[in-house]
Amino acid sequence: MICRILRQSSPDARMNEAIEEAILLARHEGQPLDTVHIWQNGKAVILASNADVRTSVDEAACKSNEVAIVRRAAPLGRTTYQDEGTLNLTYVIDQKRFFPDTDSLTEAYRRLSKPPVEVISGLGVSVEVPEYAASLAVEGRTIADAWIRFYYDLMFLQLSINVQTDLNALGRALKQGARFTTLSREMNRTMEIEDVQSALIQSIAKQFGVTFQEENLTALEKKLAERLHEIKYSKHDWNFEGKAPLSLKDVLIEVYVAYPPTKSCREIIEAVQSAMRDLRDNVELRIWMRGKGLDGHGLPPGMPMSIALTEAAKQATVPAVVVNGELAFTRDVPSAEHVERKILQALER
Amino acid sequence: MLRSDQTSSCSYCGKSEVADYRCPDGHYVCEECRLSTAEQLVKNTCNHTKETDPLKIANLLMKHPAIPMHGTEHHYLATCATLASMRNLGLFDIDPLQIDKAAALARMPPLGSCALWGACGAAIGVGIAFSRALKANIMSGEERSIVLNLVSESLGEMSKLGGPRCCKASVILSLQVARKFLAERYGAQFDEGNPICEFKNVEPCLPKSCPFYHE
Repeated sequence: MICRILRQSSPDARMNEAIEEAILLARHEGQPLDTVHIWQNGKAVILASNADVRTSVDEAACKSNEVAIVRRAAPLGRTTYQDEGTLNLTYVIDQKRFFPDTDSLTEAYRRLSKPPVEVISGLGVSVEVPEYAASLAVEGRTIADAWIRFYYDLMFLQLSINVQTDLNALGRALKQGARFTTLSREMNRTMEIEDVQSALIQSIAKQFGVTFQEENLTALEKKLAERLHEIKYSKHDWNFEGKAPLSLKDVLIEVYVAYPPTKSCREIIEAVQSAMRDLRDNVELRIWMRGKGLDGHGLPPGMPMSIALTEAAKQATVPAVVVNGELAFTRDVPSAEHVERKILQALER
Repeated sequence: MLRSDQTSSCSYCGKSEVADYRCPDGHYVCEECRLSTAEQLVKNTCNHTKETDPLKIANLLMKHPAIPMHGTEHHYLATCATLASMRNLGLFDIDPLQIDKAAALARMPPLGSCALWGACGAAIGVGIAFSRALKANIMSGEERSIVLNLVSESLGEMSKLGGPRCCKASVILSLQVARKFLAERYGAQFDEGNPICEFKNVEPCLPKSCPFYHE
């Protein structure tokens, strides 16, 4: 099996998170190969998508020590500190293709954690094999954190290994009381990132029988990463409040219709499609069908609905049109001109 | 779904019209029922159905996407399905106003009343249906006792099932109690055999302990 390996790091931790999400989105958009991404951050605190900055991060200490505060897209796992002594390993895989013999998430996680476990154990450090989506620990001290997310059929797993992470800086940046260690500390000598990286790549190749194809980010990934950085990862709203933009485009239109669509539902869809005909570069359309999910294909993992749409679904308001998170039309079919005016208003904002 | 231009009857309200879509088995749902809120759907269906088995009425309703996997919709669904069944069995005159009033009462138990009040809304819902049919009130003798017994028996069955809650199982258990009463008291006949849940594999589900779960 051919697998792509990327060694792409930015000194900007926020751009690194944007790259991570871009790789996942591009894989869904048709980038054909599963990817192993090996990378490092500058000094940064990385929060889970649902974590509270105030309770887990010492913001003042981060500011005075120039530690970036960055929120990742994955919801699981705890807040971590990273620097150039931390090695990140990310798998972006189609689980069915990568592990055709199992559909168990627990088993997939166990297998994907095996290479770092093997590398750390191979150095003589006794690392505990993790439970599903848990960190790797040495005698209760975390040596590698892990988090996982799903997007359609894709699995995204990141392991962040403390090779020679500055534990004093970590202690100053984080408020939580968890105990951490590094590979260097366990080995009583300085471990080089490059050595661990090589061992890790060899182990992955051996474990999964993959041949690595060294590549750079594709044009689509670069474009997505820049856009994600611009509208999400560089924003206070995301990093501190956890508020993500609804779409990569300027306007998101969510249409909620019956399944199969009734005459009025079809008319609403036509009105919206007609209104956005010349605005496709700026407007994303998602058609949700009651009981049948997005475009009648179920509820894809990782695909959010706006609060207004969720509310419309709860209230059984069908059909409904939500523009940038605000309920714009219900039941009465609007004209294409009326919808276009709403889109233009949203674009002006 | 298949495009259609044939006249078909709506599986919910029975309205006959030219169908735009039908399922491969020939079923059709009219535009009004496809766009209905849960309450509109339940009342409309129960006002028009000719079905005598409350479980079959409830099962059809629970398949509609307006009815979520769990929620207070199941409370008035149990009430209206029971009333429609009693009307179709020829036991009581149940008009749409009765269904409206009963549904209004059955909307009262909040989400999670099973755990918060110790009384599931579906069990209370069956009690409400019989209370209206039998015209029970606080001064009644036998009618009041019947209603109390139906609710307590339904709750007893639910407590044996354990948790976490499943609104589908609670509706089935309550309506089984209603069916048993209708059979014993009025000689109503229903299909025998244990109902099979058609909503399995939706989390959280209790495949090991639920009597309605089948692979």
